[in-house]
Amino acid sequence: MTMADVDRLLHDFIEADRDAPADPMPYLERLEGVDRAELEALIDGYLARAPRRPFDAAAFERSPARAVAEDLGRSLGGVSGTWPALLPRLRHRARLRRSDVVQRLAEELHAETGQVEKVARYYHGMEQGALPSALVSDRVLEALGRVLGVPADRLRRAGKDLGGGVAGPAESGAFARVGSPDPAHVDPGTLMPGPAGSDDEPPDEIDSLFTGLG
Amino acid sequence: LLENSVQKSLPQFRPLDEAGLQRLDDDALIDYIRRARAAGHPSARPALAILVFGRMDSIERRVRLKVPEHEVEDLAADILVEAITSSFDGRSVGEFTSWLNTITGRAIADFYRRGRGRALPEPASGADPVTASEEGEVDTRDVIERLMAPLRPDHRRVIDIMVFENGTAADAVRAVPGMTEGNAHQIVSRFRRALRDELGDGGDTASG
Repeated sequence: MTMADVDRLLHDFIEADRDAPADPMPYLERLEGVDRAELEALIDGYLARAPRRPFDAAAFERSPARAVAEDLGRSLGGVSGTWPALLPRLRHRARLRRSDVVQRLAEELHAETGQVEKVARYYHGMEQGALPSALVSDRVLEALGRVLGVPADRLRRAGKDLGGGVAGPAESGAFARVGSPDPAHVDPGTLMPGPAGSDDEPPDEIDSLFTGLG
Repeated sequence: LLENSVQKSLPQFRPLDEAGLQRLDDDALIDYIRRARAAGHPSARPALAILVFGRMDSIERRVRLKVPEHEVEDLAADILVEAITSSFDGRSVGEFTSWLNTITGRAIADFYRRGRGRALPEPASGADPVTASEEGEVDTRDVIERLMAPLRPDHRRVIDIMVFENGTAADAVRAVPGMTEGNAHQIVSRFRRALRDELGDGGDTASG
């Protein structure tokens, strides 16, 4: 193989990519050594400069891009910073279901059996962008950090709001359909003391840990 | 009265349909999302979808060149989330495309520095993340960018056209004032020799 072979394969890759996203691997597998490294670097350089792929609604629905856009939408439209994008990924990396995280978080917070559902509701609010991150206590973030395997300060920084000021109805309206959060869980009103349980139920320590109230 | 005067002083938000959004470049699209978000307009959602969908594929393929297949989708998603959110909280630097490339290079380097897939990459700061790290590791910019950075803008444009856009020397001459076909061929030839020298000397070619 020669530089000319590298040139030809790069040319063929770029031409193929103009019709539909081309897989670099079959092109790279035809070379070895410095030739392969050179083609890899050139393809990487090409991809770094490639124009944005035109939107295709059907392909988007089948693409991993959809989940990313939903996570981002919940982050940009919510009041929890980038938690909606970060927490599900950390959970996935830790190979934990949401119910596992809730159970462990409840244990870390010494929640009683009857308070686990409340922890679940608050944690769901964190993933959905509905729980104001500034109100969540360090103790919750330290506990959650132990469950998910990240430092609490990483979670705190991720919870900072995006773009100045707490998102209001306008922001959440802009992304309202992204992610289609379960209204039974994400209405901020249901996350606060009193309304979280019943009108007769005073806020308890769990409410205080997640909302600063109680 | 004060409220009215404030509203008049703000640039009016004009919603775009999907075709209009597609015509925006990345930076304009991000600006649109920011304004649609502030206005509570639902077109923020398709605008975000256009940006994510349009960039995901190239990022995935770039990541696939460097990391194991089963890690590709997660790392590519991490990169996009980090690049886009940092564009909203003031941590990004420069044009979105350049910033996305910076985040990509750094995320791949982090992936190996921390041990494969052990945690998500740390959030990027506004500082230039492509210089030597505290651990003494080499510049994480890909080799192409390292070689092109010191070149004159017109020479970089010639390389872009003839190497990365499948253009000819005649195309380069048409696009770059004062360029000749002979000079264009020389510029590309020097670039390619430098690339092979860099790679032959054990440059940044690690593959997963």
